Amino acid sequence: MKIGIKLISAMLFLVLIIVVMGYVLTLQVKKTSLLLNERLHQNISSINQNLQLKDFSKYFLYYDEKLTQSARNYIHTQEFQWKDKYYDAKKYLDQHLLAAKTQGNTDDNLLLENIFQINSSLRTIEKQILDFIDSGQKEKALNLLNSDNYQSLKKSYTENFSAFEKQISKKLSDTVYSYQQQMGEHKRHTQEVIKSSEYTVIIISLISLVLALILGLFLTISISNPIQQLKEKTQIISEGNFDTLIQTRSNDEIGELAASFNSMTQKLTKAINKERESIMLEATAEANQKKAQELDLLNKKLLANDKRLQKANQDLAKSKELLADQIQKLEKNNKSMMGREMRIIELKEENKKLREKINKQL
Amino acid sequence: MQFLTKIQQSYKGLLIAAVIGTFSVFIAEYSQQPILDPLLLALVMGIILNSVIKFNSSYTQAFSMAPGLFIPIGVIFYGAANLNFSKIYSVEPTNILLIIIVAIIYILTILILSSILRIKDKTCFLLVAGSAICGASAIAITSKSIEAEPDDISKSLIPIFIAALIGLFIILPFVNTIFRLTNMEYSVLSGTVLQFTGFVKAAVSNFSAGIQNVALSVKALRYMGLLFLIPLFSSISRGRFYIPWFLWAFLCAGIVFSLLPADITDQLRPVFKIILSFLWSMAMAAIGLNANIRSLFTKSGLCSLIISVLAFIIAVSIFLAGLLLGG
Repeated sequence: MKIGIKLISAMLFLVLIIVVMGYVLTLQVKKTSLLLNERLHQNISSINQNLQLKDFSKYFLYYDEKLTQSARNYIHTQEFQWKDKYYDAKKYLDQHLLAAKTQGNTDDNLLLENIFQINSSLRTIEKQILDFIDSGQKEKALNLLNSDNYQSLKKSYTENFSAFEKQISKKLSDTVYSYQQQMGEHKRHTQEVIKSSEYTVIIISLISLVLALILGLFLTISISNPIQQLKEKTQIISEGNFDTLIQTRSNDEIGELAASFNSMTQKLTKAINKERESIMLEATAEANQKKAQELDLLNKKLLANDKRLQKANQDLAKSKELLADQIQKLEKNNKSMMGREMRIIELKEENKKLREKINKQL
Repeated sequence: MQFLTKIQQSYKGLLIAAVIGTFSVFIAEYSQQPILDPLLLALVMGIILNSVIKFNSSYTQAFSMAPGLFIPIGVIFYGAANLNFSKIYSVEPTNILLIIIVAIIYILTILILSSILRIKDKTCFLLVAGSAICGASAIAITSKSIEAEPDDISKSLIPIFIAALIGLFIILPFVNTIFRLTNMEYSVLSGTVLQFTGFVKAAVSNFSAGIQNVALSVKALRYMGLLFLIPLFSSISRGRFYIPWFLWAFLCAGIVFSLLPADITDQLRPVFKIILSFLWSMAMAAIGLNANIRSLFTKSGLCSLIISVLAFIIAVSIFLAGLLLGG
């Protein structure tokens, strides 16, 4: 891997750790926010529901009073406007009761069912009262309105309504209390999340620090060690030792540089060896030439000596011939002239001298 | 003038590249198969033709010239058609972080594996761009910015295509069966790890339009990675800080088309995509016509395939780990 790619990989690795940290923190924040939203939604909808029920309960009492009052007014005045008002109020009360039933839970509906039944009984009596008035039986209508049954139903309606209102108020305060509790819990949870996020940041920062140090160290070693080695080897080469090689396994630019350096030293060693060889060859050739010249000179001398020797040999041969002639003559003379011994002795001496001369010449 | 003379001299070669490019765009368009990438088709057709016919030097010169001519022009259309900064807001922040994590893992895995398997730097850069960003398109842009050889392109694009096929038809369905991902999770996974946009479309084709849109938005986010990778790779390959001019054009086109009203961009983007397909398919055809088919069946070609598949598996694993962490 090239140095640049190594460095970029290291940087990317550190960026990766930072992004992972960001991802973990975002997930924690997202979870907390989702939980808060869910709890908020639950509590707010519960509070809204109870507030609405409370509102409805107010209407139950209001319309019930309005109905009784309208019936009473109709008895006393016999004006149809009260009858109309009665039916309007009845319509609204029924609507609110139905709406409350859809909003309420099981406990609410149990009480609402009671209110429904009492309401139905009250309305039946009131219907009879209205019918009595329409048929001109005012006394009967008044008696029915003041009857114990009607009054006890009214009392029961009010009691049930109070119970319902109390229940709603309790539910509301319970919800608010639970909301407060949950918010307190959520506050603690959020604080825990913040604390754990802080620890996450610290832990990941420490891991990043350690990894950054390891990566930095690894990069420093992988980059500076071969450079240091290269420097040392260069120094060794500068001292004239060319048999030195750098051992490296890295395939980056420094590895390539080391390979080039090794190739350079090998080539340098080869070139120097070649130079040495050529110098030695030159020296040998020079010596050989000198020796050849010396040999040539010797040869020439030998040739000259040879010529001289040949001449001497020729001279010797001539002398031999001359000597042989002389010997023949001497032998002839010896044979013919015995008395000439003295002369022969002289000749012998001459011969001896001549031999000595030849020997000297040789 | 010199440029026109060059064009005149090499018009036959350019014409061959144009014919192959156009043909591959038509095949891709009329087949209606999202996995048939016109760029890849053009490259493969170019390689096959080059192995059958021996082109003389005037043709090969034209084939060398074509990518330099068509890719930069295509980059502008690519920025306008695909670089949509407003898509950032349509993806959840946690998903954006997960996409970044997966992209970094893709890059690191390919860099490390390429170093171990001794893949050429330029092939490695193309493998990174093609896998982590967007298949053939990212390879086309990156190849121009790092001045890659045709063999580097074929050795990166074809293995990535094979890895994407394995991913789409084997790995992702297997993962879905094991982990029982929701449609939304599967679409985010497809957009995050699949290399080709066509493959992402194919992966989410059975889902609702809303979910398909999420997958394509996630994929669109990955295009932005080119803004970081191209300066990085072109600087490393040149040994000095370098930003190619067409990257600025890509960025500007992206910004302009992110700011323009949607009714205008919605009309222009499909047209730009077609023009882009034509331009880059011609460039890829020319690259294929200059590439050596034998280089694909070398040790480095096989290593590129191994790297692409392993990087895909690791990216999927990291995504699933992130998903499990998020609950």
